[in-house]
Amino acid sequence: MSTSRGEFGQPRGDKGRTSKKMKFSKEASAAEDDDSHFAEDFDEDLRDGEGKRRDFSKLELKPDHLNRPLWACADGRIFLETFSALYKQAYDFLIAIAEPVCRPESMHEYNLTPHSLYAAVSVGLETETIISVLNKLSKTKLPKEMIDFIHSSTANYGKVKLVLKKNKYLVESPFPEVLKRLLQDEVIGRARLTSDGNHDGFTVGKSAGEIEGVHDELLNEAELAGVAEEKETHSFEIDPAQVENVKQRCLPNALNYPMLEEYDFRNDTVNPDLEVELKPHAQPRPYQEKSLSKMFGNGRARSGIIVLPCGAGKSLVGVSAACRIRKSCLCLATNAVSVDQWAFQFKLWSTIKEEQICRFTSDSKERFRGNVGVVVATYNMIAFGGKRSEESEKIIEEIRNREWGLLLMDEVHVVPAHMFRKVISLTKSHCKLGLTATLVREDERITDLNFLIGPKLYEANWLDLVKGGFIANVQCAEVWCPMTKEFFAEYLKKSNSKKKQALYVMNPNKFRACEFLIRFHEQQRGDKIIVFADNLFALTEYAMKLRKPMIYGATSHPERTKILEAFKTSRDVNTVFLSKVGDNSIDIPEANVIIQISSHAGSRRQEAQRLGRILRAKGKPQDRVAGGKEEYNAFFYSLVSTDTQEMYYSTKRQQFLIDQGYSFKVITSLPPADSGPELHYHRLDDQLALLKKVLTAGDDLVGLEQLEEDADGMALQKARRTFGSMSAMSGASGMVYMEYGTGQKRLHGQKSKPKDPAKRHQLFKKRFG
Amino acid sequence: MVNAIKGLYISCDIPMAQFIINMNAALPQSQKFIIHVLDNTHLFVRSDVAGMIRSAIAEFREQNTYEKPA
Repeated sequence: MSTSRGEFGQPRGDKGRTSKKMKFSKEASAAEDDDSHFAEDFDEDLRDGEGKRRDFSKLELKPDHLNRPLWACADGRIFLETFSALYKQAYDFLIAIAEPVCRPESMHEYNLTPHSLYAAVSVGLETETIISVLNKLSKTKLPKEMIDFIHSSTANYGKVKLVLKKNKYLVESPFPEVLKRLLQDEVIGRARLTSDGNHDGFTVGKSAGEIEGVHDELLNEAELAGVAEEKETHSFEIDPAQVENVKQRCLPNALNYPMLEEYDFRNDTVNPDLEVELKPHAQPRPYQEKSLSKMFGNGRARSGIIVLPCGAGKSLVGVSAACRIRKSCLCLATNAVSVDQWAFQFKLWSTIKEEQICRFTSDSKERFRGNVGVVVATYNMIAFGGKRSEESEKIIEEIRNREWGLLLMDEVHVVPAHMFRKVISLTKSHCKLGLTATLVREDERITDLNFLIGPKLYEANWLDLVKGGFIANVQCAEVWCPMTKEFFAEYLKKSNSKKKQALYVMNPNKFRACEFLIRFHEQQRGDKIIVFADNLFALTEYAMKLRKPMIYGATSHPERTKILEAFKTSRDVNTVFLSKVGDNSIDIPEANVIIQISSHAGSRRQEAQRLGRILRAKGKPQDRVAGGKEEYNAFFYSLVSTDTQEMYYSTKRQQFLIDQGYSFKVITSLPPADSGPELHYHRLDDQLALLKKVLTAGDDLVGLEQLEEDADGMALQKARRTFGSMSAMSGASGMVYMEYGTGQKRLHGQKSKPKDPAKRHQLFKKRFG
Repeated sequence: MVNAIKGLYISCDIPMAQFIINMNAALPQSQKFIIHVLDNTHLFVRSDVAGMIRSAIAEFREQNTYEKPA
């Protein structure tokens, strides 16, 4: 249960993988005996209720089990009935102590992991409270294994704290023997700075000496008694550069004294206050309040990650946190556009003055004025390793020398871990807050986030937000389009193996379904539609045929702005075709229908991010059809050609959304049988002409669009080559942290710029600094 | 003179008919099993291949649903 894969298990995805593994191992001869054992073992373990370890029929039911909402199993899994009267309370509690695995409508699955328990302790829950509340809510007597597990995972939590005081990192604990144990560790011992001017009565310099002598043990105990009475804390200083290593050593898989990071900002008199408040119109929603209360639970600020779906108001949470801490704040975003958005959000929600906020991107380098303020920058700018211009060097220097009250990090799931490390080691911050919508975990990299930022403080339930009307209620549908006879015949030919994708994307039936949907939503409902296609060939074919505007990687910035402006304001432009450039960065709140005609292999994140484009809550515009409250106000269609590889990808991609509780409706009869020549490709010759076009187009043309900032694409290509590794099988290996190089693109554009500024001509030096 | 051939009448959807035709085309002459392609959705095949076709289709569908394409 505590293997990293089990921990963050994605049962469905795993099954697909293991079944493949099974086949492999059966084919393999006895030479790979070990391997096949493993595979079979695993498969058995995963098949619900079939493995011996999953038989819980012996658990004792409590007499009043009907009134209790959850089932707790010995392997750490917890099932919650959402129809129970106690659902709300139980949910709040479970989300604090366990990792959500899958949250469909009426039954949720959670998993207790060392990390989730770590998060629980760090928000202030105690071991005994966890066990007693869990016992109260459980239908069965708590299995002994689970109690032991909670005990063993939480026993050491909260004993050690990492504090930033006057620009020094201190490891603090009320228990000197714990500190001593930590110091015995090689890594931590080395990281320690001995020349600390510790004002603590019990300095660790002394305790370090004690390690050598045995006779000190008695003394220790006496001191311990004293400690208990006076509640003194003991501390030693560590090298700022080693903070990350020290934290890592303290995690459950090593020394098992995970550090809590708290910031007592109210009593911080060293750093100047930032005079800023939330504007009265900024009313945090209940779930935003809740996530903030997790962060500021005991009057101090905790570091951690808050997970909210796209469009649920992450930025307000970030701004509120900054307003509560009221110290200097460094806010990091992924690209220049989001930097502008964050700066705007700060001005929108808080009373921050114009001169207190500055943006630091490659295009706008604003110097700070005054000794306190908010700085919004991109990850790239901070982590950039090469030579900088003099101007930005100065700014960086200032950022480095400052003590930040809050480090606010947007979209933490996309930033590569090494960049994080750099950012965190460069900047001294009392408290870190990570924000993300899709904390999709394909690998153990989640542990990186756990020690780099902190535990996950809060994760919203998408369906609850839908019910509360905070995000749009989306109808997800998978439209099954059968292949036409001619296309399928070509698809099956071995010689066309490279063109398979083009063939199933250009399937005329799919085209007709797409056209039908566009017409229906444009004409019957007056909706705004985005059509996504990763395949450039398909994108251009569809857009040209249907005479709709399209945006892809090569579309220039002014043209993009023009198209999007028209889409937002004009009544005549209701549909826009986007390649994957539209996945993240393009903000189109008006759209409420997405049609996906081709997608990027098995990327769950892409699916979730695309859905995020239409999640922003929709009002009730007057031009919508009358007839009272609509059940759904947003639509997500994924067009899939049946009997092709696309079926596999589509199942894989939907997993994240299914885990969030969305269900996909399968539609098989689109376009309706009576639709005739009003849709394109009705006649056979048209279809054959299209087929010919697909077949004659070069392999590179019909392939995927290659974007420089295309993180998923790079990861997936890579995954294909490293065939055989577990993450490669998942179809989305490494995508969580792949390089997100918006800065790179710019560099490519300015190839004439010499790398070494020293070689530059005087004239240019002046210009480019 | 009447020429009677005993065989199997298959009724399926368009893509599956194509799949069977493709399967047949990949075999050497001696093993070909399709006697007549009647129309888009109907085939007349040798009577002994039912099991083979069934398992081939099952495998194909299994692949499309569960296996990550190479």
